[in-house]
Amino acid sequence: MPRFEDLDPDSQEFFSNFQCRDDGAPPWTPLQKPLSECKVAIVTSSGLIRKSDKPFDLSNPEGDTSYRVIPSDINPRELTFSHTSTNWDRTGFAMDVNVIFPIDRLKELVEEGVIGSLADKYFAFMGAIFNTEPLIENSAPDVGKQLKDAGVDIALMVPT
Amino acid sequence: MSVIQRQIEAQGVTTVSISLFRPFAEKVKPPRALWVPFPFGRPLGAPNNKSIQRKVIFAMLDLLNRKEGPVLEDLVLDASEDHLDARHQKVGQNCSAKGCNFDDALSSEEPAGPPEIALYDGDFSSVSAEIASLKRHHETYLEKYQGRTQVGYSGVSSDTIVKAAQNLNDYVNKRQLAIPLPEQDSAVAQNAFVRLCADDLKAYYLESRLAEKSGVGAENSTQYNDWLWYETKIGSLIVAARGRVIETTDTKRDPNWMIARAMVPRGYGESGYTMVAKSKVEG
Repeated sequence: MPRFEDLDPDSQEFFSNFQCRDDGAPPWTPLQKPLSECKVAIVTSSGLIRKSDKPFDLSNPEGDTSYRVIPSDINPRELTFSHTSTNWDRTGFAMDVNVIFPIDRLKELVEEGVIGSLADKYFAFMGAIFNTEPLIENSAPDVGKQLKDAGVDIALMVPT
Repeated sequence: MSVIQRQIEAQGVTTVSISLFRPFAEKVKPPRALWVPFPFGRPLGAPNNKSIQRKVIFAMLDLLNRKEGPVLEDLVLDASEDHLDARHQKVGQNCSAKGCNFDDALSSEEPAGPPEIALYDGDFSSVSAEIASLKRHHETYLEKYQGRTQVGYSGVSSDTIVKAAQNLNDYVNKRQLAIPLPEQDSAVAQNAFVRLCADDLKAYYLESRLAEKSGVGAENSTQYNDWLWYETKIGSLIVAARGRVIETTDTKRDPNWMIARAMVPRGYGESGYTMVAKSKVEG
């Protein structure tokens, strides 16, 4: 992103006031096998949904902590955002979904043998969540369990 | 994102993230994160640029080799990729000269202050004429991207997009809107619908502009935003509608406030939402 000093004053205030958690040292799950044997999934916090999905609740001042499942073979025509932040560059996605959701790049890496395979299901959260408790207690561990149960070795976490 | 990442790692899945705002990653400490210098909205660098997108993914995968964490490393761009750095993309007219636009910074001329967004003059016929004038560009966009479009939030299509503008005009003129969407029992339904109408119009204008300029927007979204908010009738109408949404709220915890803040980008217009909110809260 732009360095903090390059942001407009309103954005500087927004980021200065955003309360981040500090929960200390992170959990650590080392990779157990070669990359070329790993199953990979994408988890995005872009607010991406399928057009047929229920949109995220955009008017919740605490942020909607639910998630949507996006099939990894999705046709980009079916994708849209329900969280249409005005404060980030929307031109990129309008030209290429891979700039936010690199579905084609990962397919190529499987074909090239760099990674082993792709998960059937990718996951989407929205960003700008001000109350993270429901995320920590429910939806994020839930997605973690689903990824684990699906045999996913690596989750690529992509914000916007 | 980092909060979600820690929870997924805790379930036994190895994770690596892209970080756009480094101070957040430094504090939340996800297991592995790659900071990238790109603007918000472009975590993989640039659209239709396979080379930079692959570079980001390979750099992420490389972090999986680290033996202990938290890992937070920076993506380093080559000289040929430097134009993708967010420094070269002004974020609103209020951005400081340092790092935003080097041409301006090197110029001896005094930088001009931000232009003002024109007040909506209530002339809806000029709005609908503007929308009609973009139609051929939007058709070009649909053709180029195989029918992919972000238009549709409020129930309109690119053919009926003028209806979204009509709704904003009615709202500005304090007429009750007929909302064709489910879950309209909520007290905030009308304002939420107004926002979706604005989202549709912004999508239609963005896609039309990309087709018209074919490539300009690929490099700099500020050029698009400057055009939308300073040069178009629809920009003024959306700002007027945002003004009415703000009138319905007096606190940042209000759902209507969440709607208002999402309608116009930070850095555009003197009534930037941060300042308006403060005066309301303190007053």
